[in-house]
Amino acid sequence: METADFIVIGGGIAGASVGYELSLHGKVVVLEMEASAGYHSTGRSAAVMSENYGPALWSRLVTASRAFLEAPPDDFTDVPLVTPRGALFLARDGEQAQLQAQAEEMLRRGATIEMTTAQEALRFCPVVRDSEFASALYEPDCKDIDTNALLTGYLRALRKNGGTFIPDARVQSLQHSQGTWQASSPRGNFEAPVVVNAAGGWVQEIAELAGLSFRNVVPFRRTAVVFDPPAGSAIQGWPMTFDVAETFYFKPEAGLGSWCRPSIWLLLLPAKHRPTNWKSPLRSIESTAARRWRSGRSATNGAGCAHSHRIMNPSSDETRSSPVSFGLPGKAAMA
Amino acid sequence: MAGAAAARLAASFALDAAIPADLVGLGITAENVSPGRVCVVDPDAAAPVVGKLEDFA
Repeated sequence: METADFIVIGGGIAGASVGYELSLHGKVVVLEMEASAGYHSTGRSAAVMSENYGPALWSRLVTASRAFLEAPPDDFTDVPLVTPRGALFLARDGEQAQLQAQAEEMLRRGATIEMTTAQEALRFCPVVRDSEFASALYEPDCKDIDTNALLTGYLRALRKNGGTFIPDARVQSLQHSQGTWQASSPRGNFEAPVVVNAAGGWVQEIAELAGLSFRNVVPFRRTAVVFDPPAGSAIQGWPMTFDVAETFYFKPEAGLGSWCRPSIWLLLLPAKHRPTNWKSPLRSIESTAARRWRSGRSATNGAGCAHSHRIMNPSSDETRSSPVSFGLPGKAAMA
Repeated sequence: MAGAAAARLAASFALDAAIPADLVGLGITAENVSPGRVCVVDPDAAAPVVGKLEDFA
């Protein structure tokens, strides 16, 4: 039995970050059921930072995170955790009032924004199907978060502070006795007076192991589709691009997927979106992509989606990648 | 993207310590923390809410 001050269950960004914070106060053991950290929701995050859109409570949490992300502790990372990205919101006919309301809210929060037509928005992102959209809003201050650097930074700092990250350690039982929790796993047994449930989509299962039999945490699936970029395109400067109803969003990424391409294009569908519908939002962007590149270099019909797939495996138990439940058994104590 | 602050918040729960000063205004009080030190902070909701877990059944 290995003894610690804190057992953190879950080695995604939630578990790694709270594990790091707790390692400043005592010995931490992070137990991760997968073979590596950040295997599920963490690797499928939109990974952007903006205080200028989303509900006010969200914005406040982002504001409270900004200082750490912009100036992490010494030795936390060798690369910037946040870099400029920009955000582009697109509205169809019938959605322009929603876009206008969003613009007004962003201005109220002090954001710098630019309202434009969908046609003019092509200068920010040339694959927008401008015939589908009527107007656009560009926000330059949205930033990318380097999720990998953030996750590895947390775990590196955790270890530096004497903590331990243990992969392949799915918690099989949690018992509480005489003020101490005992957790059993294939990688050994652990005990600590405090357990933090950071199990993401498995948060309720862990809570039930601990005897908390609530039923109101519902994990949702998020779907990501990964593409090769249109041939010859300089996608790294494209903004994070949303439709204002947030049925989809996409951004350039680097190094994701099994192909290890230097740049790829990542389409994310929000939770609750049916994974089988991923082609529908794709049509909002592919036509212009095809038009733009058809007459030029190599044609990229289908938005260059020769390599597309759902990251989640719908045939497995892992249909529950959850952007909802983080940190504590509840809905987004950590987000 | 709000995780750095949320990690400090969760750590304060685990430590049974005071809520970090910059997060006090989120509305987390003893009244909306469930047994087991669970507090729901749902920033995605149409009307963002903070409360006890059992309030969200």
